[in-house]
Amino acid sequence: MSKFIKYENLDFRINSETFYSTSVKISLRSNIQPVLLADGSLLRYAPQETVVGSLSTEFYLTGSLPNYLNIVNSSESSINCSFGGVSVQNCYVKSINFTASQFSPILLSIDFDWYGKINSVNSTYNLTNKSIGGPSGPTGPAVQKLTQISHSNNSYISDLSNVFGFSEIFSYSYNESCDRVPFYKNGEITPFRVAKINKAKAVSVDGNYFKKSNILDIEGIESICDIYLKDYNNNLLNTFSISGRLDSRSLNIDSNGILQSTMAISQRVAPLRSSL
Amino acid sequence: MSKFLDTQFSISGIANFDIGDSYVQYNLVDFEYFTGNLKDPTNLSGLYAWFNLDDLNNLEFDASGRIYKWYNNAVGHQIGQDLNNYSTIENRPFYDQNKNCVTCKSDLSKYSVNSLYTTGDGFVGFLTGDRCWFVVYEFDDLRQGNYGASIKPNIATIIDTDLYATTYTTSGFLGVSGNNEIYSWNTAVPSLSQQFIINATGAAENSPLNVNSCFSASKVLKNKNIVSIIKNNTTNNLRLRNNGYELLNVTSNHFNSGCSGLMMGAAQNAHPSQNNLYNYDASNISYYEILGFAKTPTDDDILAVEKYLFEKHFTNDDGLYICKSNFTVSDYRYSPINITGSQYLTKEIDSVFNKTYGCSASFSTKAERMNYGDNYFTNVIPNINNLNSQFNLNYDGLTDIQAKCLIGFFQNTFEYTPKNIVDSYENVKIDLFFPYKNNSKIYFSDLQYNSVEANLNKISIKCESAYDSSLDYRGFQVTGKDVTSFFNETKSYFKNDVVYYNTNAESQKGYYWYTGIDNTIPTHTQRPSGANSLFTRSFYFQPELDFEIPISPKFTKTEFNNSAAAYENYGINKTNLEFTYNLSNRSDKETEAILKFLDSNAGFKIFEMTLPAPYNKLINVYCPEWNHSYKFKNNHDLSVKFIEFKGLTESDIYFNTLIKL
Repeated sequence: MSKFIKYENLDFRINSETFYSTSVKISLRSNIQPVLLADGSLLRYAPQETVVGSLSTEFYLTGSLPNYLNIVNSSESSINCSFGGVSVQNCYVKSINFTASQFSPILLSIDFDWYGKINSVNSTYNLTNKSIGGPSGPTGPAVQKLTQISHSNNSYISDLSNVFGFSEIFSYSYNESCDRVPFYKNGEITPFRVAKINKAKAVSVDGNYFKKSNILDIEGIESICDIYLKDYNNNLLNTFSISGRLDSRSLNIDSNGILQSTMAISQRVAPLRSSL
Repeated sequence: MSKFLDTQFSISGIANFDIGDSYVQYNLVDFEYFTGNLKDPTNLSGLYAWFNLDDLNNLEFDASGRIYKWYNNAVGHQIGQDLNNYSTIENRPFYDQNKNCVTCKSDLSKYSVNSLYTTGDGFVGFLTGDRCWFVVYEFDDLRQGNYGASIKPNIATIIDTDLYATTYTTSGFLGVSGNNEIYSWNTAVPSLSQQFIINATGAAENSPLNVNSCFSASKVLKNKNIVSIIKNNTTNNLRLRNNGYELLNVTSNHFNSGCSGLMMGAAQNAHPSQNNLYNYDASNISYYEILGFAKTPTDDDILAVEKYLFEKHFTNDDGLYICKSNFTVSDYRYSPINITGSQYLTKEIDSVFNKTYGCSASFSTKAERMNYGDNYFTNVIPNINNLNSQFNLNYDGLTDIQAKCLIGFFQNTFEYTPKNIVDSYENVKIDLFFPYKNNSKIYFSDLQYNSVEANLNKISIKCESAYDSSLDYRGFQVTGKDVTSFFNETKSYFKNDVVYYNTNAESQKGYYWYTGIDNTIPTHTQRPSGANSLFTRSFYFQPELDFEIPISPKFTKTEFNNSAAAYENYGINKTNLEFTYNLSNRSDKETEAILKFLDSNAGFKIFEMTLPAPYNKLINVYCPEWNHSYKFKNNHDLSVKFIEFKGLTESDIYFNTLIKL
């Protein structure tokens, strides 16, 4: 009879710190190319790149966001992830995003590239709701309750430059991303550096009708806003900031729905070169 | 700045090497051997011994070319104060013209060591008390002393001035001793390391004498050293300095007025006589210059004389260094010419920067084509080194500080002092990339810098190989062990293996490529010269499926003013094929085999190849140029140009000379 493993809770950890994760996916691919010779024969499948893996997870934040999950800072170092008896080494975070909508818990989603190996590890953590360090996240309380997970109940977005024009905000989402570019020493298949490029932040907000006339400009409209991510009990978990340009708006209505407006703010994060 | 002007650099922020300063990884540090002026030995009083190689007439050679005398150039010295060796020839040292030094070797099989020494009374009577020695030397290796009843640490002499000692014996000796890879006797120095010793009695046994300085010298000993011995005979103070760092400052009877001779050479540790059993563990040592003064110089004079020796013998050891890791210069041990400093400062970029995928190489022949009629031609090789080679070294993923460091290093290479009279600057030793030579001597030609993003940069450096020759029996640039081994009839071969077949038949001698089934031990008839050989000297590598072979026949077209042009045949060989094969995505092994094939044919030699279908004809070609790109691990792209050559074999030579009446 076949054996199946059912995970009641996911024992997902980053750098040995447990996260209250609801899903984890990993995949990997090799990049090969068939080589055909003049006589029509197949010579080989030639590697064009190393085996690149991707790992994505969704989790509830229960404490402040660890620094190693900051996408746009200067740190390029790798982290190790493990779940369900699998340890994935040399993961490089490339995006984080979440959406807050009324009365819903806020689920954060992270994507990684990874270039390392998968190892089997013991997964014996007792993931009960009370004992889990997991929902507490890396820095949260030791004994966790579901009321302490990131939740839209008290979380809010602050329009510091007063450009939204909404009287009601239905939902908002936040995204931080970058591209990771691996560099290999000749003869190696594990990168010595996985650089961050194209660092960007984006926010989109859904609301009602915008009561403004000058709603967009050819250079966008300067927009600064902060998102305060809180748990259900109004404890501040993390603040996300964006200082970019409002560059798109839309207005939608249909016969069965409500009038809804959407706007998007984007920021190209541009770290200065250090003066050497 | 030491010897160069700041204006030569396009970057700023080069730091000077100074005591007390801190440096971070990838800093460029300008090292100068102290900042004062040098002093010529003749400008310092008390010079009684000066053995230098400024002029070959300072040496006397016997009929076998060995040295039996090294003249003392100090003014007023006596004949007995030259260094001599009138014993058997095998005990005399050699002159190394490449390094301009006197080399003393030891030969255990003959129980011989090379040395030179003063005769008669040495410097007795000439010296009144205070003295100092400055010696520039280099150990070629440091042998282990595992001879005799048990393994013992080696003892290798640098100088011995005790030859005529009357008051104190065994007190004018300087050498090294220490640990080897088998055993560590002295826990004060690391395994494989050596320490200086000035008393060879029980030198590096479990409890070395206190007077022996515990200075790990193993790495520095591979390079040249300036060792300074300063003796104040009044206060009995003895100072020992190595490459500018003071190792020892003690009150000691060593090197006192009784020690007035001089012996240099490989071991022959006459005193400690108890060590005779393993005298012959002596290490080969070379001498560049020896100075002796009958005085205790001032600190400034010591620095000035040391700087004189440094400027003279340490070519390119000053100037720009790359900082390998963060450190603070607390004292002169941290100078790059000392063992501690060499761990932080380097000129070898291979140890600091990673070459990344995308490195490429291109080769072309210098052959000049001489055309004859009927499409016949010959290649005239203008010189013995026929091939041009250019390499493009890729350094990708650099941070800003790494990019700045590499740019500075690149520009600094044009300032290296030449070691020959032809060039005006010295080449760079660098490891190329697979499958080319390591430790290759190249000249940088240009640098391409690309900024990708803040703190992300790419640098490509073009360089040329200047001193490699296709006359080398191993080949021009592809000379690895894998492709230069002799054919072995007992070995299993795999496709694309390369062997050198050595046979008395000159026409059959040379490189062959295995084309048979993997893991086969060739039979007698399958060997390179066999009737059913599994080896070939033809170009058997196939191009991509989408190859191109254009045909452009020659013909003569005569234009007339008022008439149509006339078309005429161009002799008997109308078509000479000229085409390029693309061989993409090839494995390491096939790439190495292809490049070895092209390398060994040197851009002008004629070889056979069968054109792919629909041509399917065996033709003679040569390859005047080819390119190689290292794309990814086990993945290479090559493009190879071929030109058909007619007239090599009899079947191809056709003269239409039949006269019909």
